[in-house]
Formats: sequence, C-alpha cells, structure tokens
Amino acid sequence: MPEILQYTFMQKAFVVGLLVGGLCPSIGTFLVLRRLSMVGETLAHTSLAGVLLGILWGISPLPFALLVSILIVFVLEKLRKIFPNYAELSLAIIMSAGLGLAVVLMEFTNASDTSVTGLLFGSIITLSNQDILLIGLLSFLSILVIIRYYREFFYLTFDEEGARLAGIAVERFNYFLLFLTTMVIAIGLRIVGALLISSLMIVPVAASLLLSRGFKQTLLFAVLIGILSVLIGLVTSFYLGLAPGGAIVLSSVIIFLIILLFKKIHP
Amino acid sequence: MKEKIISLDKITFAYPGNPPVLEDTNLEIYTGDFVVILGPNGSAKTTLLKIMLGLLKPQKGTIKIGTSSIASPLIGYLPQKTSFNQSFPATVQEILELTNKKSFFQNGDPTGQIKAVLKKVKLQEKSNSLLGTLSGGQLQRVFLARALLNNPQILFLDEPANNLDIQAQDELYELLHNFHQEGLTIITVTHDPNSILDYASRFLYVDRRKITEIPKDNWRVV
Repeated sequence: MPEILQYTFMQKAFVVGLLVGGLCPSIGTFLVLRRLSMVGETLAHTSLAGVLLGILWGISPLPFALLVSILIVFVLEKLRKIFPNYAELSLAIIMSAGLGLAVVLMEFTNASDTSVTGLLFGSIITLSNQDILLIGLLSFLSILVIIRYYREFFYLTFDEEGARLAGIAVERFNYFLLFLTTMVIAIGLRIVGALLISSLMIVPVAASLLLSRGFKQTLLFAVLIGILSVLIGLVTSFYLGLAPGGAIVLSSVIIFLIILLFKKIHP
Repeated sequence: MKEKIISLDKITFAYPGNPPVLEDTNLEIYTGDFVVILGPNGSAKTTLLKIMLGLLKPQKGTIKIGTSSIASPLIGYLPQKTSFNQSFPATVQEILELTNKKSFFQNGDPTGQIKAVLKKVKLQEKSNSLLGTLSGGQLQRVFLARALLNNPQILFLDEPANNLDIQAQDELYELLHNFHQEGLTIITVTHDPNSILDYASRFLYVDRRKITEIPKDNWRVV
C-alpha cells in the first residue's frame, strides 16, 4: 500500500473527497446551466456561520450547518420574490449576511486559528467518524435523488415553462435543488472549506462544457473532472502540506486550462 | 364527419386590475379544422389560446373540450417563446426524451416514438446534434416534435413562424399542412397570415374583446 493510504485520516479524506468530487459538479451542472452559479457560494457562506454557531453552542456543527442552510433556502426564495428582476441581489444580501455573521461568530468562539483555517480552506485531518457517517448518509441520499429525479431537474434546467406545462411541480423542485445544494455543501465543507466548496460546483462544469456533446455527457464529464481534481488535490496537499481546498480547486482550474488550451489547438 | 371539439360559450376574461380583453364571446372549433387566429398586438390572441389550453381561467363563461367519441382529447402545444438558453448543452434526442424518460438510466425511447416523430418533422438525421448547432427553423421543428410526441388530437401553436426566414416558414407550414391532411386539428396564432393562407381552413380575428370569423376570401380586407 502506498504511504499516503496507510494513514486512517487520509483514507477518510479520500472516501469523502471522492464523494465531494462527484457530487459537487453534478449539482453544479444544474446550477450553472440555470445561471445560478452564485447559489453555491451563498449557501456555503451561510453554512460557515451555521458551523460556527454549532461550535459556539456546543452542538455538532455539521448537522447544525445543514439546518441553518435549509432555513436560509426558504429566506432566499422569499427574497427572490421581493426582487424578482434582480435574482442576484437576494444572493448578494444573504451572502453578505452569512459572511458577516461568520466573521462576528469567529470572535466569539474559542476556535483555534487552525480549526478556523480548516473551516475556511478545508482540512484533511479534522474528519471524525461521526462526520464520515453523516457524510455517507447525505451522499447516499443525494445520489439517490439525482438519479431518481434526473428528468425533473434536467427539464427544470432546460425550460422552466415547459417543465411546468409537462406537469412538473416547478416550485417544489426548485426548493429540492437548493436543499441538495446545501447537503452537498455540508458534505464538502470539512474537506474543501467554506470559501472554496462552491468552486468545485462550477469549475469542473465549465471544463466539461468545453468537451461535452450532450447533457448527460456534460454531467458525467463534470463528475469525472471533479473526482480527478480531488484526487490530484489530496495527493499534492498530503505531500506538500497544502490546504486541501486550495489544492483541489487549483487542480480543477489547471484541468480547465489544459482543456481550454487543447480546444484552442484542436477546435 | 366533423364534430365539435372545442366550444367557448360567453367567455369573459380580464387580467387582474384591468378591463376585460375578451367579453361575452363565443367560439366553436371542429375536428379537422385548421384555424388561424389573427389580430393586432395585444388583442388577446395568446390569451384566447391559453384559455382553450386551460392555462388561463375565464371569469365568466364555459369551455367544453372533446367530442362524443373523444372525451378528453390529447393536446400538443408549441408556445410562442421557449425560455431556453440557445447554447444549452443537450442533443435533440435528449430534449425529446424529457417527455417520457423516468430516470437517469432508463432508455427514453423504448417504443421508437421519438424516432418516428423526428422523421415526421424531417429531423431524423439530427437526433444526436446539439441544440446550439441547429438553425432557427430546425430548432422550431424540434419543439414541434416535442408538441407532437404524445400523438395529440389538437395542436396549438403560438406564432410558430416568428423569427424564421421565409424558407423555414414555408417548411414549417408545409409540415403543418401534412399533419392537417392526416386529420390533426390545428389552431395557430399569427400576426402574418400571408404564408399560411393556402393551408388554413378558417380565419378568426380577435380585437376589441370579440372574436370575428372572416371568410377565407375576405382575409385581405383585414
């Protein structure tokens, strides 16, 4: 067995990393194509505030972050109705509120510098067995939902009006997509970090869009690129002592640039 | 034999906070009709279509859809504007599969229905093409194929030739003509009746809250 896989924390990191690497871009495909790329960023920032609240009140932070984000989804949808013509405004308001709250909470919690850095940029050593269990459960649920409701999400992403005419409960599936986003953020928060998790929802999708010849292909290529980015990121972060979130996201950006260059040479 | 398939009886419709756009108006459509709905901008042509489709509920009046033999006819609808992004990364086949695909792994065309409908709209060669690579006319035919997927008895179209060049318009109307010959009841909204004149069987003019039937020979007066 290679050295990197002999450590239990790295085994855990690889398991979670692969789940995150696959799940982030699959949700990201729906978000990017609906021009909702900023949703991931917004929900990640609010879930950071949720984690800190959890730490402050001595409650398990991951489920608490999930709970806060789900609450935020409802607020977000309400705000979007108040500003129907400025979709990004409600996102900006919630994102500022989430980040502002997180910064204030950081002052109150006695979290050490390293654990705060871990929350922001990811860490491979902080995964507890309880985290793994919750992450496994959430991943299983997310994969099941994506496979079962693939058609509904695809239809909604392609043509909301058409989906409505086809009898799809558009409002319900809009919420569903946002809940899935919060779940995937909760899954990836520990390892990629709150500031970078949403990049993993976007960059692999952007790279995949350069290659794909169909919707299913876009989804599958994005997942493969996401997984590859996580693998490269974790290995480099282990050997070079880098924050895993940064290494993972940079890997995905480098893959994107390589594909872009390849497309320029072989259009 | 022709049977009444849609009847609107003393319909009044107003958008909230506005005066009625249709008032106490009647309309009867028969099986095998090819109806063109004309009228100035904002004269409630689309509203009338949406009332017949059941997408808008009139404040007064009744709507009956169906004949003695077909209690609830299947309906196909090609909306005026499909709110989709032109560069959406999906193939023609994938878009048509959306109608009956159940999950990620399921084959979306188990009965060969999609293949058949693509042949009908003369796009059989394009099933694996990305939407972004199609011309405006071809794209419109993809959405026409989608409207025809469930083998409807009535086909509603809202300005189907908008933004199409003359050749694409002719191709589209030629297709509609073929479907009409096969027995499909067609109801289409348009503001430019010239190219559809030879194919349509009835002309309705919507204006000032009323629907007026115009004899086919008199349409130029409009």
